Amino acid sequence: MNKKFTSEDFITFYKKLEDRDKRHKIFYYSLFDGSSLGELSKKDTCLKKEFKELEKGIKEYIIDILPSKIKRKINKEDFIKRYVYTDWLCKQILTFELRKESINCRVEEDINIPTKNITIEIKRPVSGSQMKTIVEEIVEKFKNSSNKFLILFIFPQVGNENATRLSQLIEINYIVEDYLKGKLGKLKVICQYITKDYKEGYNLNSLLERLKSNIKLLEENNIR
Amino acid sequence: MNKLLNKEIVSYIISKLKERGSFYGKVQTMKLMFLVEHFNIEKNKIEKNSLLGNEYRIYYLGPMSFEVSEAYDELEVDKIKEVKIFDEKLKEKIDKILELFGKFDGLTLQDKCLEMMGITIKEKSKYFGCKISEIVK
Repeated sequence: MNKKFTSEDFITFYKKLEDRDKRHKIFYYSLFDGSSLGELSKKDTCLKKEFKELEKGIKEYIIDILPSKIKRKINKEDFIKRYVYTDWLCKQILTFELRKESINCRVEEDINIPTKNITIEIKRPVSGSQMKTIVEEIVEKFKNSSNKFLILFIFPQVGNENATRLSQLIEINYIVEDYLKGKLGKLKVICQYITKDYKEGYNLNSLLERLKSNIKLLEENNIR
Repeated sequence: MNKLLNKEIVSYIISKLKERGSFYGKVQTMKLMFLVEHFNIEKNKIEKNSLLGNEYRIYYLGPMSFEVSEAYDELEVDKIKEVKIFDEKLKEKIDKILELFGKFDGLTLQDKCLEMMGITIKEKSKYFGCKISEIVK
């Protein structure tokens, strides 16, 4: 390996990608928490099979399309475990896309929009059983902060799931919004389902639109 | 890391937990395997040195090894009963780890493992994807 890989390397490559579908595909494959899938999927043979497919997809749509300049800097397995299975890659993509929309934000531990005092916290639950812990950890993490929060629960499609139906089902997670507001103050929750292929309502651009409008609501304090 | 050895140790841990009536599943077994790998019993702390050679990284559920995950998935957990470990020194360490930590479920063990590495739940996301050798001195 030569020089160390940095976020700049990825962004330089990503911003040259003109193809909407390619960008969406990279984003989609950046959404899998491989560790949680690995630890929680033991009893679900179907999910395990899908996990193997996802690993292939990550290699094909993220690793293989990286320019050789980046490939020389990385160990492919390490890249997946360090940047894809964590939320590093999806945060880099969302930050870049928001900046393109003139929202001045940066990735720290989370995505921060300093001028508007908004923190975007991304969670990628793999199973409903994780939600209690996820919510408790959000409260613990931000209880002493005076920022406003945008909590993004993001659910990538697995296999041939019915997008409309799944999207309806994940809306149950809005139930945590009032609880979190009670604990953390000004806050919005977004539940977003993302399909493997670019599909209206379930793609990176739809998510960006939702993020933008919710950031505006938070900025104007125009929330319930 | 030798997958057969991983399967043998994971099976042994599961059989012992079942005997004690405190087997809670994969997350718990994963964290116990982590402790077998990195916990120094005499010094009562997590060390960089790895006993079995499995690579652990910090993820949402704490320390996790894909090698151990794969070994676990290949076992028929429900059918595991009595398992023997022939390496006496290794058996001694596993038994001690089970004595100290075998009563806890996966999430409690996650907290304990992170705490022993000096990582609070609040800061754990900072370490996502990092190898244990990059965190522990």
